[in-house]
Amino acid sequence: MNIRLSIRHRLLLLTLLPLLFISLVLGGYFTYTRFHDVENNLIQRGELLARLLASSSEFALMTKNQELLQSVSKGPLLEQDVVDILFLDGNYQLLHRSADFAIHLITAAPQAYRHQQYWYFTQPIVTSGIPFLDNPEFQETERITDTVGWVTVVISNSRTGQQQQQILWTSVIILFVFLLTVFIAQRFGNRISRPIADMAAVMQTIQEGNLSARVQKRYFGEFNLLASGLNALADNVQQLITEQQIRINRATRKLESAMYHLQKQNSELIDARQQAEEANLAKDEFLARMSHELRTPLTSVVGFARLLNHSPCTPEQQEYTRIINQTAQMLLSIIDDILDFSKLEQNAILLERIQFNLEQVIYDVLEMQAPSAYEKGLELICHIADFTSAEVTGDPTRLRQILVNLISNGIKFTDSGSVELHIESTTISSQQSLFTIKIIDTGIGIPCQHLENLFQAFTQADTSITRRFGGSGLGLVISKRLTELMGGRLEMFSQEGEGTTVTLHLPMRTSLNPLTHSGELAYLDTPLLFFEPNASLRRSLSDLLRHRVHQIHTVRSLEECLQLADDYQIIMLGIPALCTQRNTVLAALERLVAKQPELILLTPSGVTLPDLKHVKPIIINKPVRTDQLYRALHIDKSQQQPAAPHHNQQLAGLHVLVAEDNELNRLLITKILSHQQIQVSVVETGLDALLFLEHNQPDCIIMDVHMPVMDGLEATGKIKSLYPNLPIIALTANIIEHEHMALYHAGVSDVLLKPINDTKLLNTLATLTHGKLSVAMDVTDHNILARYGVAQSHLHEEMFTLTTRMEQLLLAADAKKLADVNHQLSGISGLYQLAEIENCCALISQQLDQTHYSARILWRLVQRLKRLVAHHNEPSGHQNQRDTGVD
Amino acid sequence: MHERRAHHLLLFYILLLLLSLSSNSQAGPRSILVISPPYAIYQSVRQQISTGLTGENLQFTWHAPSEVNATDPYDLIISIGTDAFLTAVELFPQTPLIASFLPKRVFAMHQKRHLGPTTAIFIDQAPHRQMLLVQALVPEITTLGTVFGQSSVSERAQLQHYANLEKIHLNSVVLKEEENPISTLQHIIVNSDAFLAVPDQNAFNRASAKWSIYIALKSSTPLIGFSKKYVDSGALAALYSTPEQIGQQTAEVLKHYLSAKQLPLPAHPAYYQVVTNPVTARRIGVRLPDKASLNRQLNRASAS
Repeated sequence: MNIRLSIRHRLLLLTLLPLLFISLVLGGYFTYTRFHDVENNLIQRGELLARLLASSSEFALMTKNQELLQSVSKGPLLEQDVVDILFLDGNYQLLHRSADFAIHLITAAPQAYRHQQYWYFTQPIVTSGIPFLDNPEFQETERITDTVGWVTVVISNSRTGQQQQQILWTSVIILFVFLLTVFIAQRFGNRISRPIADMAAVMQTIQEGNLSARVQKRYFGEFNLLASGLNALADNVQQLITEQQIRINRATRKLESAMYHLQKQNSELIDARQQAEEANLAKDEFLARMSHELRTPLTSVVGFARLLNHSPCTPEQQEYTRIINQTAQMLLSIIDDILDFSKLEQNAILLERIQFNLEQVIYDVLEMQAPSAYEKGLELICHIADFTSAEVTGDPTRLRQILVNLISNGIKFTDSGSVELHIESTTISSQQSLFTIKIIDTGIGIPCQHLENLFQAFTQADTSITRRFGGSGLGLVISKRLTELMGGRLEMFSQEGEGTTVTLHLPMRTSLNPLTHSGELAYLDTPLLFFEPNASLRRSLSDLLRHRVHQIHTVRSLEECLQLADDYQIIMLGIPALCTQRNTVLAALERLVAKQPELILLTPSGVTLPDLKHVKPIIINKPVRTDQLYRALHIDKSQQQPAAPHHNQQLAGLHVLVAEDNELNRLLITKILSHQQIQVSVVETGLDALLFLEHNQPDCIIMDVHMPVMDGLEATGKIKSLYPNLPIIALTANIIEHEHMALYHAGVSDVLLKPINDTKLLNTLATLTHGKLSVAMDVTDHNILARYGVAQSHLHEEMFTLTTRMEQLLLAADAKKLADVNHQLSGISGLYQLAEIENCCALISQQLDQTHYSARILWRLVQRLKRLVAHHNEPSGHQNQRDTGVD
Repeated sequence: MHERRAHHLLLFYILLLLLSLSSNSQAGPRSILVISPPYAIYQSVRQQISTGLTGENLQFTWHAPSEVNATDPYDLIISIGTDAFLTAVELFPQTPLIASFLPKRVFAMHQKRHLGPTTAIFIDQAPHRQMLLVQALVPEITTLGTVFGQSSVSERAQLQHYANLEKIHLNSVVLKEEENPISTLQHIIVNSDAFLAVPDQNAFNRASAKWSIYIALKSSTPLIGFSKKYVDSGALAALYSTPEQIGQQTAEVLKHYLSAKQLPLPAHPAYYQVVTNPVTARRIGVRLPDKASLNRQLNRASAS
């Protein structure tokens, strides 16, 4: 049984138990000792008396003198309790006895024993002698019998018994007194501890929640006071707790009410959130759809512009089509930016790290903005220092987006004057420079109090501005955020009525452009007369020309130009953007070309020039690119034409059916074959190939393995069953052996791996149609697209189509098809050595390989892929196109 | 001058030669066996004998009683003490024997077993001398008490004889072997003017000696003991001979034998000492005579 003792009881037990134990032990010990002491005293006394009597009765016993023995006995008989003294001789014969009553005598040994109520103490009477001989010869060794008799003292035990009884009684009384004391102590202790225990119990009851518990009993003294105090305290506590309970109940009711409302609101919020999410999803879908819808016509614009560019047209027309193309691309990019705005808000923008030419990007932007500037009669001026030939590493799309925003803003808010772009660089290290790009306009300016608001989304300086100039107000915000993402800083300074200066500080990694330093530079030795009414533009172009033109005469006024015109063989004339000035200049053109000089006109785009009778001027659209200017002055040696592949007469006249679903590949194969004067028919699926064969008999089929509707494997099997002698060349990107074996098993004549190797394709074709033939190819240009005149735009369009499809598949959550499309794009990017795109495709592939892929990450990767694809066709693409001269 | 000196020297050598011849012709070195227990008191006797015979041409051989070899021939045996005497009697019954330092009753009991010439020097004092001492100490004495045992009862007649000579009544009792001596002693001492203790194993042991002194003191009876220790314990006076005195007397007897070729009769000690206890004397009211007077009276015995 587990008995729980209070601390008080434990303390009492701890102190009292040992004390009680020790007291009892000591009491018992002392009682026992005293009890035996009485007996021991009796024994000692008896033995002492017997010894004394034995000693003193020696003579009387030896002389057997009764009187003497009686005399000796007298003294001890007077002692208490001594009732008899007996003397016996050596033969235990009684010699003398002091009393006469029945005794129980045991002789023959000195001893003390008790019989009935008497103690018997017997001692021998021993003789003792003195030395009395000097000479041992007188006597032999004595044989003295020491014991000559016995004395027995008989002592009554009655008094000792009484003493022992008395001791026992005393002990009992002491024990009783002790118990009485304990009882009294307990009573008194209870009188002290009971009130405390009662009060503690009441306290415990109150703590357990029974607030009505009170101390009911009456105690004495301070305990009464304590009890009443405790009761008073309990009353207060009860009152307080009751009041508190009431308040809590009240608060609880309020809280419940609030909770009810909150739950209601929460429910409403959940509904609202759901609606918002649905709306957001709808918005995303809408944006995606709108993006697609916007892209489709824009793609058409771009496509037709390029077609126009491919058609025979004047350089001016080509320039227009290129600008149309670029503007459309920029528009696509802006659409993407609007879509990205939400991602920007979520810091979801990933910047690319691509090497690009900063000068080209700047001129691209300026050209893009030029029509709107010139439409308003504004001069668009670019001040570029020498460094601009440097290649930088960064995100050209985002930089272009920033510059477009800033320049378009400048144009938008400037009614007259100019928008200038100044760019300078400060070297931070051998690999990094800080580029400072300033866009200065002479517009309406912005009040200081509105400057900060401009960097907030959907905010413009004045609501009237929106009405006046339109726009979403996102441009500056996106520019600022992007600049900061690039590690740069965007500052704006404006003075109302005087104009605005936006400064972009941007650190970027730099590397020298090898093309700039390759080859020998050409210089113009012929004196050049240069007229440009705008001072800033004049200074800008003069700076450009000064490096390559030995003699340049810059004039500020048209009159001066007219006066000096006869002295110069080359005259470069800037046509002002402002209509009134422009007309003046145009009116003076006839007089200027009187001596038929070589005339270079720097004209804003869209300006209709008068027909000059004697001179066919070289027209360069503003803003003027350096290379255009140099080309017009015949000092540009960088132009190279790509080598065209040779064609082989042995393959001419063959009819080849190409079954390929990929448009780019289809176009490329067609180009390769057409160049060999091979008649090419194209279909997009295996089924189409079968249908084609029902009415045509080609010499050979080039069959892609992976096609929709009916793949190449199945189509080959069916074709071979119908036309067993028709050679089929299979094209696949898969290097797995068992697929190749399956193709051979199906009946293909040969398997060629993608990317397409034209030499190998033609050799295989020749082998299958004419036996063993070899086709000699000039492969000085490794770019197969350029070699066969396939425009980069085809590649870009193909990649763009694929990325758009990937986006749609991602929205449709069709991972399998997404993986297929990604695989195709990866193959194309690998084929044309587009490392960034290939890498991005690899990341998408990794993500798709995971069991639970993240749609969010995939979305980011696809968006990144789209930007990369878009970039592929923009700056470098532009450069490549012009470098290779394909377009 | 030189001739005279030469004559004198020649005469000296001749005399020396004659002396040596005379000595050899009278008696050669006598072989004497001394039998003595190896205890100090006996050694004192032997030592005193040797001292007394210094210069004699004697060859002494000493053995303890237990070590004596009976086959060795000796011209004379000197025994010291009872054990030595009994050994000599046992082993050398034919050899002349001087028994020294032994009680008279022992010699009397065993002397017949020795066939050769025998003499003895007792340790017991002569009765006459004892009687003279009693008379000297207690001149007014009329009754002399004494107790005899079985071993000393033979001396009773001789003591009675000398008491009669001195006109003293001898109050004596002969104790039986099993009889308690205390009661007898008490009776004799209380009823006598003086009490003479006689060495006897039955009459006196350490207890009876103690109680005899107790009774004597209690009854103011002068008690004459036979040892110095007795006096030291409370007896009034005692007459006794020391071992040296016995040794001296033995040497004298041997000398006499050597010279006379004949042993004397057994005798009590010729030399003795008297010791008194003045405390006891004062206690019992006896006035002790001075030493000179005492010696003078005792010498009467020697003279007689």
